[in-house]
Amino acid sequence: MGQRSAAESLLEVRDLVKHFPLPYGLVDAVLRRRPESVRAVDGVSFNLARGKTLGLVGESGCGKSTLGRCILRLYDADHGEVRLDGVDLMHLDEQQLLPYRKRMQVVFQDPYSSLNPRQSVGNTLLEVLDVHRLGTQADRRRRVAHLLTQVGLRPSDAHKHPGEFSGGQRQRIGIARALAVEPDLLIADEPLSALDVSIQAQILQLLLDLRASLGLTMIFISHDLRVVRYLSDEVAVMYLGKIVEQAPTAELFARPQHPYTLALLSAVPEVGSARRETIEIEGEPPSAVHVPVGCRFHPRCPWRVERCLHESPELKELLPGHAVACHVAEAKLSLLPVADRSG
Amino acid sequence: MSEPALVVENLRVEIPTRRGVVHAVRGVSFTVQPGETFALVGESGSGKTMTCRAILRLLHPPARITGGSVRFRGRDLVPMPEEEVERIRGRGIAMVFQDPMTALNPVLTVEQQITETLTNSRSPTEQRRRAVELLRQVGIPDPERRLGSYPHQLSGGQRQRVMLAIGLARVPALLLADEPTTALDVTIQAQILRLIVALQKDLGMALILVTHDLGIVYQLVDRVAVMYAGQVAELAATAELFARPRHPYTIGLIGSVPGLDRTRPLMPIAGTPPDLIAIDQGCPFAPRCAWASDECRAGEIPFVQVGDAHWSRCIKTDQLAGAVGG
Repeated sequence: MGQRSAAESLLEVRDLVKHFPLPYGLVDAVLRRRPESVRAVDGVSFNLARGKTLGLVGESGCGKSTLGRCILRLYDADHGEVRLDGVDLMHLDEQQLLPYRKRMQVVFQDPYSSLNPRQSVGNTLLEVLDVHRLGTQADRRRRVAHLLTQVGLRPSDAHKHPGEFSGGQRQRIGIARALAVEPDLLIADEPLSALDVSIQAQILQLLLDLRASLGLTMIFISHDLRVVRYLSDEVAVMYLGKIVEQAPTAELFARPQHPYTLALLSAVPEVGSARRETIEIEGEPPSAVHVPVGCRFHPRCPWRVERCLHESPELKELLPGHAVACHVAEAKLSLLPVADRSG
Repeated sequence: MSEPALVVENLRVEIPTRRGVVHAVRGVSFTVQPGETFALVGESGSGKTMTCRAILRLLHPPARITGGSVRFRGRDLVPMPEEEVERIRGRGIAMVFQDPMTALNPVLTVEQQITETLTNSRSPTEQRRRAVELLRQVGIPDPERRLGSYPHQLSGGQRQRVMLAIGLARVPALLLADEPTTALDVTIQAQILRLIVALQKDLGMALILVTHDLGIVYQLVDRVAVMYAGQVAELAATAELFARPRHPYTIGLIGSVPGLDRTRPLMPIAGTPPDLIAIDQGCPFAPRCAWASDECRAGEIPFVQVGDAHWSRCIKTDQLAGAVGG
């Protein structure tokens, strides 16, 4: 949403698109089939202010992980802009990109496959520092010891291999690796999903503590609304490649507007909750290859009207600081007196 | 009170490995009433899946039952010959597994997998009709068309529904569901869980739900056994468990779940679960427990009654009253 000045936003994403073309061969050509692609990210824009955490929430296939990777330039987006401190990263070559890579780091979901099993943990961390040529050899070793302590492990753990650690400990190492270069932006892609509940809580607490002490800006990608709510300042809900609702966390959970958000919230089983307004959606998410015409959520939407079948709703600020992409929500809100619409 | 659907008493399961014997289940006891929704809650290594598999005699060798009894309709399944257990599997007791892609046979169609469990006394037409009826019952749209599908042609949610259909085909008295929705998206998860509980009530089935998700337990379950390191740490009705948790592990688990109230700090449990090979005497949770004393490390901790139908394997329960609950 355009309120923030460029100086405040660490990250600006504009109209980001990433499609993955499906294999298309001779037979397809002969049969005159149209080439198809998985429209993983289909036009996403948002700003992220320095020091804030954006929770990116959605179910499988919504494009949240792909979005994260496009921002990091682990994938090259098809078009759009990704500006870090005002500089568009999309057209930089590898050389030019290196200093920016240092400023954005990632923690992945699977602690079992994201660490090189043949390398000691210490060497994995050193490697990061070597690539970015930070300090002398002695400095780098000291930093590795410091990092391990910071994430709740011991400096002596540097000699061990990943296989000697539990899932939770490996995730701590993944976090240490991400923080090694002192990034400004940390993207955590489902960092807790592979862990047991009590370990999740430990890692969540670690992320909270580190964020506070290091002043990190974060994008926290997750399908788990409960965790996202705990960690994020602002939440963006994604469906089939687009953001359908975005608002400050408390606002989103108190006054969700989009029917998909309502359905997600209804679906989350909570300890201690009274029944909130529930909305049941049937069916399964359609594939991102055959994105429905009009509003992409309309086939499953209990609120849909004629307009939804033909016209894709724009993500618009319908309440202060609160953007929604839904014709029906917009119509509902426009009927309210102006005074009732503010926070 | 009518006869319980299942009585598990002092069940023990061991898995010999090169490193030593893993004591996966160490004296687990609980009872499930007909029509009851019962949950086994725990994290990895708690023994909940092993317990389920042991109930149905589905342990993969070299894992084996080394003690205790599992009484279904008054008969102990543990010493029963395999042919007799086979007659009960799928019929009296059915199981739905976590990952439908590996549990379903990839080379058989949906119809074949459902009718496989039906008796030969039905004609093929009748079996087909029953399969369609089951698919409809589990909410699969266009069931006649789906009969000819293979598992890889279905989505995760649909496969899970097919697993359910197979499980329910003989209208079992007891359904074991081992993390049936963990691999599914949240909105599909909600659909499947609602379906399982609705069918359960319709069919008067008892349900044992194995899960790590306390939210699911809170919303859907009648009674809970919280498992830790192969033992039942606490056993109670759901409302009672969340209102008055009486085991440090339960308290820790509830404190680990980010709650509605963002101002309540997370209280993670420090440390990790014990190695089930080198498991010592005494309480397995002691190393991570804020209330532990030497007594806790000394000998077997008894399973004591701490409230109405509420049991805990802890000798410090009177010190826990007033500790943070759900």
